[in-house]
Amino acid sequence: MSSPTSHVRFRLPEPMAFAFTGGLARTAAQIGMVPPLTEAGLDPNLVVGTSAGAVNAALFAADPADFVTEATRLWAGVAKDKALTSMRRSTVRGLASSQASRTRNMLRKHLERAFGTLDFDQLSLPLYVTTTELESGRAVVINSGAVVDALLASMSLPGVMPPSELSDGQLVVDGSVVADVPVKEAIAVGANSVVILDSGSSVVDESAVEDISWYHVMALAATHMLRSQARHQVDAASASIPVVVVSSGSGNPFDLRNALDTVSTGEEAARRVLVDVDGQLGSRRRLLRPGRYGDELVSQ
Amino acid sequence: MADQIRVPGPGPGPGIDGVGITTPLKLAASLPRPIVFVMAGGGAHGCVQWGLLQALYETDIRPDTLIGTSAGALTCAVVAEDPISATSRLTYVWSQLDLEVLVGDSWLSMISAATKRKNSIVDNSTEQATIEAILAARDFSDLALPMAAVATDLATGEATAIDSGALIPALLASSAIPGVLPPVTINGRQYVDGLASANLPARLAVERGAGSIIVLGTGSRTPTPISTSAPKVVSRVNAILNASQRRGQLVASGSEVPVVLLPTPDDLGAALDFRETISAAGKSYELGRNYLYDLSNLPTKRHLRAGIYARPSEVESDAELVELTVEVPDSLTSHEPTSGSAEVVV
Repeated sequence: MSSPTSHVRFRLPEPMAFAFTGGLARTAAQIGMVPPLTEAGLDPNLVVGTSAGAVNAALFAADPADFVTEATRLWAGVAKDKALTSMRRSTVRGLASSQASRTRNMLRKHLERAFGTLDFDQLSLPLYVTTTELESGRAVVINSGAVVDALLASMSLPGVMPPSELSDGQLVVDGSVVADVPVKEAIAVGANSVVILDSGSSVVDESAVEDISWYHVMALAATHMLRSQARHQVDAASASIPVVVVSSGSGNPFDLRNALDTVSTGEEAARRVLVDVDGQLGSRRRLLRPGRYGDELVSQ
Repeated sequence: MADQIRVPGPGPGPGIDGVGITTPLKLAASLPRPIVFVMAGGGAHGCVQWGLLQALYETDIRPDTLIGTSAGALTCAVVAEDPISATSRLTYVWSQLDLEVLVGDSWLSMISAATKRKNSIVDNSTEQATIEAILAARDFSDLALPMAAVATDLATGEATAIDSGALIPALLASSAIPGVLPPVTINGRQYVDGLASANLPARLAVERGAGSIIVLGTGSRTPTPISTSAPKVVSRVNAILNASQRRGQLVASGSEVPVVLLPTPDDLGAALDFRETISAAGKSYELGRNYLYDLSNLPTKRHLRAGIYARPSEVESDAELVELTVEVPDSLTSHEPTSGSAEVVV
């Protein structure tokens, strides 16, 4: 732990939630965001996560102190798994019905290495994992049972992995379809303030959009669709509670092999936001009022 | 077996309600200006807007400005270049539109795109020729009414309202189905179909100063069965995303201004199936006309206040929407479930 002098002057009303957004490989940036936040004295009472962000949320909920080590290990393991990291091959598997569960089984292996048979009630912080119910199109939040099963359900990317069946028979897919930024869900489970660890959304850098394949245009547009709801959800949430947004703007979600390259971007983003929010408040230590603080979520 | 044709039934005229007035004129005056027509995207389902426009015109509701996405942007342009003749011209547009005049006969290029590094499966030259045949205007400044076409900035994902400069590229950008049609470069930025950010751009309409909004949606497809097969899951997820976007747009706009949410048919085929467009337009015309008649009979102050004015069935699945909704109960369809339509055997 660092010295108390690095603490920020603002406080957040409790219970405070960390909300980890989806974003596949880009969610590795969340590994970099956590240390500046916790060193500044922002310790969440609960964590919420979507899709790949749910994996980070679960690692944090299992043991906040060990988060960076465990998350780095997990992401490094995934990066080395060539069969899993080829999005093209994963998509081909996903669309071929006989192969559809293979990607999930590969992913399960990595998650079991990290979590074993851990159950939600063995975590040190309450964890909420988002999924999207196919029938109603609503977000369904999981907070009991085996952690690995919940994470796989939250990561069931349509077309790449088959839907998961919950214990009550509901079919669910990736939480990012309706809750890529799970701020509404954090409020629903009782949060009075939320820090959003946002991995951002863009598949490619601006300079690269001029030269991408039709396949990437399609994937990029799909991520824009997911994100188009996020701004509205964050706006609505920040009308009732303080919402601090830390947004990392780089990395390709599909580039799982180089995911850990985004860690330093995440760390910089968190430090920048902490300084910005502190600066807005002047010299007095104070409890944040409802509103949005920090970064803006791009895309409408 | 002979095919059946389906035509809209007569309006709520003297023969039906004894009032003797078929056009509820006071509605137009109760909408705060500027009145913005918001037209959603939806490919072949855009025919719904043709029918809804006919209903609006009969009720003397005309737009001050328009904003639309994809197929909706093209319909906006047809209205904007000459509002007087718009519904008549749309008749000729929709009776000739099909998939071939939009993407051409291009199986060959589809196969080559899958193997080459190319940013779309088909090119947009056929679509461009079709749009240029439909419209006389070539620049936004040629239009009689202000309008905006909504496209998605490919790099940032931002919903962008394009409202000046060359018209045809803006319409091509707004309808560039990601992966299928090529992104379009405007002022140095690449754009794809507005569906990726704002398929129903009501929020942009509010940001651009709308006094009231008339939403011309594109109906909804026959729901796909819940299944674990990848194509069905992807199609289902698309429907979920669309519904979720629509909800966000309606909540954001309906809390600021009056939003007149016209009803739309709910059993349309695939978005690129042009076979049923004329009968779907007829169904939409009838739904829209009856709704506007009922809306004009709602007890209101001089001006409609902010909220979503809708048939309960258009919003019932959503608590957030229901909260903002002023219900427009159906007074006309009690005698016949399909609003008095006549099915004629040929």
